[in-house]
Amino acid sequence: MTQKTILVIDDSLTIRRLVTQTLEEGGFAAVSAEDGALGVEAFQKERFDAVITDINMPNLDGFGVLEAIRTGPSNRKVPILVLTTESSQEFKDKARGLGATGWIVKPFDDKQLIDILSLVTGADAA
Amino acid sequence: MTMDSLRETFFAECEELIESLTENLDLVASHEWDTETINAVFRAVHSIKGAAGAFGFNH
Repeated sequence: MTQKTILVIDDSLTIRRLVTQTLEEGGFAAVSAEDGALGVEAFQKERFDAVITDINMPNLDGFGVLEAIRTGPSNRKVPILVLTTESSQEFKDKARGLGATGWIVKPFDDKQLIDILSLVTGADAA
Repeated sequence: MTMDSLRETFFAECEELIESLTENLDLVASHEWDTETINAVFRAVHSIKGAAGAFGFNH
């Protein structure tokens, strides 16, 4: 099966490295962006099988990322998972309303992240 | 990449975030803040909290 590529958008270098390492160990390829605006730019240039985005970021936050991708011309159906320290129902509802596929609260469990991504991308878990 | 290397990344990032946090809180204290100053303060704390949990630093 072709390797699935995931776009990881988070302003924390630590989280980008952690998520990238987890994804690579789980058999995925990862490309990362350090804020929402750069994430949307990367999304428009390449084809991704799923997107993982933080919420609190400079330039464009995760809600802006959801809106830009869901209202954009391509890949409107791409799974978008929100990975954040936020756990309020209000934020979850807002993200869902903007088209988020799922919500994962940090700190994340490696296996859970891989299982969810395998499910939403149709990949075989490593 | 080892967990030690990730932990080094985390501590280096914490130093930068705390530096930015201090600068922004100084701006607030001297009444020179705007909305972005406050947002940056929240983001810095969120980033430290988010990454700290990954290493089991929960207290």
